[in-house]
Amino acid sequence: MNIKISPSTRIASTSILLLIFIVISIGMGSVYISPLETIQTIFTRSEEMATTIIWDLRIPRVAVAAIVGVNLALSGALLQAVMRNPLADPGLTGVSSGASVTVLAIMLVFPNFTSFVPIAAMIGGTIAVAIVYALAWKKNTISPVRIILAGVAVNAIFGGITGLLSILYSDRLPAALQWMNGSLGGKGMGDVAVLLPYSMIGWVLALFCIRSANLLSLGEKVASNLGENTNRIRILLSLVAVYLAAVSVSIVGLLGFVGLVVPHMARLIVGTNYRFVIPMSMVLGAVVLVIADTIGRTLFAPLDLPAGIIMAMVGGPYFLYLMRKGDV
Amino acid sequence: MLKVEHLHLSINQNAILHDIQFEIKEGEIVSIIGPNGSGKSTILKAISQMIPIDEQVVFLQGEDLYHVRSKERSKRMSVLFQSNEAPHDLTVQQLVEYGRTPHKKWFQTLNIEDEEIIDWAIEQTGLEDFRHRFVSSLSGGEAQRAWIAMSLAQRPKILLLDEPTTYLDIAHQLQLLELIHRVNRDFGMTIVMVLHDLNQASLYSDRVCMIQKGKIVKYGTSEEVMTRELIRQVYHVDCDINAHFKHGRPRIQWIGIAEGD
Repeated sequence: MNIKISPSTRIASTSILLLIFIVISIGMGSVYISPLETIQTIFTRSEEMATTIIWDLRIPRVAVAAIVGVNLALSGALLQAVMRNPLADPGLTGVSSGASVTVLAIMLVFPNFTSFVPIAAMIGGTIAVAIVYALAWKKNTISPVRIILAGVAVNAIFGGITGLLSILYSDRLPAALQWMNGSLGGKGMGDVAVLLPYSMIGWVLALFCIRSANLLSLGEKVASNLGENTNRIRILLSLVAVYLAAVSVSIVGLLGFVGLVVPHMARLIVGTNYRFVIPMSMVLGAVVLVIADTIGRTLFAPLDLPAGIIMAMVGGPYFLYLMRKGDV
Repeated sequence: MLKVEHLHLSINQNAILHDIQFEIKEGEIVSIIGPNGSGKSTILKAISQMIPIDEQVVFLQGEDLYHVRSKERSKRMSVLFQSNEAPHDLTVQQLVEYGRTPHKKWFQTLNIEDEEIIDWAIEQTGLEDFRHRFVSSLSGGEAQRAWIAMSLAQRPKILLLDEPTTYLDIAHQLQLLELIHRVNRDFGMTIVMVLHDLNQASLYSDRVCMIQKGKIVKYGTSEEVMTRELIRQVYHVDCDINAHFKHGRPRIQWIGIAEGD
């Protein structure tokens, strides 16, 4: 790119793009509402039918998509900073599957305790990341390669438990199935009300991680030379990442590739400085998941494809392309 | 300035360092030499607390480093290891700015004094023209100078360097050693460096510390350390030693691998 556009301008223009996508997405569906009408209805609530559709059906779903997109992208960006590895994302390290196993256990085995789902997700995710670190900890440092290997093992273990639970409680499975696929269908304002405050805490924490993430990008030894306790900041950043992933998993289930693909796209646009990567990942995460979900629910309408399936179908090839290009 | 007392270190029951003891005076250049795997770099890691070590082992300006907060330590001590890799789009200026990290609280931004120190570090390392270039686009010698500039921006009292000349051609090696020498002479910065080239160690150091299998064989001036007997004992290489025609320091001429022992 020859024209010099500052990273801040790029983030701002992507944010405007996000707003446009959100408005278009709200209008899309079995009843099409034009963007202009959508904006009108949002602010004036003039026409009853459109107001109901927009406020009760479309907005909650788009809001959940945007918030979850932000969370997963941030979680991926932070994990990538901690592990200095572009492959790190909540899915790959086992954080998401750890969180989903505990959530699934509650849904299937203890259905009366569904209010504990977010806490269970956090516990599951933390257990996963703790196992990953316990396995990756060698010679007083955490080796990125070992983290990835440990993540493979953790994913296998939790995948096994998920399989076991699904077979043992197959009668209760249909209720959990939509959640497991990373579907945003049937989300209401109630879900937004739970998701938003928890997520915002995570966003603020993520902004506090920028400095540490940048220092880690210079390498373990340099960060340590500059007075950082590298293992401590790695644990803190990981916990924020787990928190963000767990909050998302407890509402929408397993949704892969957002945490992997989005930070990578963000780096292509604003460079590697986390001062810009973190905000850009937030905006792009929302953009990507809003688009993925819009495609999911309109492509084979009235069939509602989970956003997780769209992300896997688009994210997988994108990932292969990155590998082929040699960026990963 | 720096005192190491009874430094023992084992990793997985293997003794790496054995009873290392030495003292470095303020304003000295000390080189640590020894064969591959003798524990040279490990000594730097132990001094800079990158490997956990016991209390009462490393003292910086009389203070037990074990009890000094890492941020306080890094205001006074900087350590640079080999083969550092910067993010591909990090400029020299940005890298050097990171050197101010220990002097800043997380919410503070760079002030005029920081800017002056950054300019000074870039000037000392002769990188004025490369300021806005990516570190990843520089040659090996230039990149190494950029990392040293970052260390200088820390304004340490003591600078530890792990094989600063490795991977560089001879001109860049000498340029770097001259840079280190100048910083030491002009600003009284104490230097401890691990070197492979015995002639360079002889020429550029006030004192030399010779290590073999984790133990100090000899710690003294170049004349005391660079002897045919010690070099034969430690490196199993025969050599001749005469005085450098210009500096008078010991100059080693290699003969060959020592036959038998």
